[in-house]
Amino acid sequence: MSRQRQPIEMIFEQLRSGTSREESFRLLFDRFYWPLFRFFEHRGFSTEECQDLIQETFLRVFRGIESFRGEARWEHWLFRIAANTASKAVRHRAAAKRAGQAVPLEDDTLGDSPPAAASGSPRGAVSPAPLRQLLGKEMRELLSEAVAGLPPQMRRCVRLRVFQELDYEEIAEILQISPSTVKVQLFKARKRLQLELGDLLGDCDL
Amino acid sequence: MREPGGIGPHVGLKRLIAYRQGTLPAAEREDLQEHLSLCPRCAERLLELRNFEAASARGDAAGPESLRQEAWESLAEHLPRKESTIRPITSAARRETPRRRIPAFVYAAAAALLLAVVGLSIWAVLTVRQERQRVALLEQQLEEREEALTAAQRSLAEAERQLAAARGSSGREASRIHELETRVAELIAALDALHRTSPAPERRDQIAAAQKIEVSVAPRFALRGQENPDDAFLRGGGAVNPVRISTPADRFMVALSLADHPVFDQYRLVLTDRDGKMLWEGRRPGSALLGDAGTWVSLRGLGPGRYRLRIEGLHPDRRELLAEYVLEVEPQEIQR
Repeated sequence: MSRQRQPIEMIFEQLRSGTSREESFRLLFDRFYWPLFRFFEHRGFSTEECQDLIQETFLRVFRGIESFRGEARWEHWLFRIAANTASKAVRHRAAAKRAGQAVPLEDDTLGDSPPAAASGSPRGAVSPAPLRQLLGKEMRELLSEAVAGLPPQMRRCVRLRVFQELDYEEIAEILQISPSTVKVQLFKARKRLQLELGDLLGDCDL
Repeated sequence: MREPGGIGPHVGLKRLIAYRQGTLPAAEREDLQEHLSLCPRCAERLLELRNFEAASARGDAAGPESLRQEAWESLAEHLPRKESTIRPITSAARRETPRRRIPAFVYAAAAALLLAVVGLSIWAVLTVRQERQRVALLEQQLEEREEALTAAQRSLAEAERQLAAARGSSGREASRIHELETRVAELIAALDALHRTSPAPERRDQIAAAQKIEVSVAPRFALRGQENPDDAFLRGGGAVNPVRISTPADRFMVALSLADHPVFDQYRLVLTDRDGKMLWEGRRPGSALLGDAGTWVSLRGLGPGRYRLRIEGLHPDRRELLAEYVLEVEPQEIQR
């Protein structure tokens, strides 16, 4: 077994016991560097900021390793630390902006505003065309009302597809069902909504 | 596009993780799915978690190795330099760590701290003992006052009886009547004076003043700062001056207000007679005592006399006396 693929639990035990602590910490760092990089990058941070945030996250891990009791999964503990670090960075950025300081990030779509909600779909080809371009306010309200009358699972599938512009696989992950179930639910939903809304449904891509 | 309508507060990471792990109860799971379908932020967080788990499991690189190396070098600069400077956790590792020499001033500081703690404890014990003695003294003084009142009432009744008898006689005893009238007037004045006298300020006392708890005892409920000055109010951290409550009121209000946050899980109020026999008990959770909160204490069937009101703080493993009051329930008017 290579040192690189040593089980996390073993690395973690070595860290807690204090033996070869720095070496164990390096293994942990190597294992989770890229997942963390992707996470911060997805939140819209620049490469330089990702480097800083990864360092901050691992310093917190190093300082807090003794408080981790192993009740949660190690990855989840690390994820929570990373998410808190990202939120803190966004708050600092917002505070700096309020204070009139120059801020390194260019857009406002980071942090608490998810890309799908704030700036349209980031998923390009797999998502439907942005609905706000196709439907007026009145149509959106009519659609919302009609969707609210659907059975729970169907309703959730439609909302995630139409209002959050997610693909089948993401909807399946969120609702913990299979992608084929999502497809079936959306197919049935389209039939029902067509009956209720007729032509108003237009080319809304379910 | 956001769907109109309220979607409730965002879901915490802990709960999202529990949902991912399938440990949420069915009803909660349904609610969460409904929320996720309406809240892009929380749906996005869940997908981030999924992506992070997947990336951690795969362990593949998403960029040049030089970037990771650079990040590690920067991080390593901020980590403790030597293994020995990192405190080991297990006892075995602790034994392996070489024993460091502790400077003499640390011992001196520790000894001073220990002395201070011991001194403080002794002071606390002595203070509590002293306070108990003062409460006992106060009770004795109240008892003496009650006896004086009773004696005065008896004398007045006797004088009034003699006066009535003298008036009923032939009228030859005008001087006797005058004498008795004067006597009755004097006795009434003395009795009024006795009733007007409240325990002197120096008899008032404080116990458990360190507890941040405000207690008001009054025949009716009132907000802090808006109490009727005619009411017998007790304020502050456990003043033991007696509160007089007239018998026409069949109950009185004890209002507890915490200045800060609840120190105890529960607060217990106990009304006892002078022998310590419990007559009434009430409990309030600590969280219910912020601001003005009160509880009624029934006096039904108790009659005039003196009672003790104890207020205790309760933790699962211990209880602590916070304040103790003497309540004097008396007839509303003196029968003449």
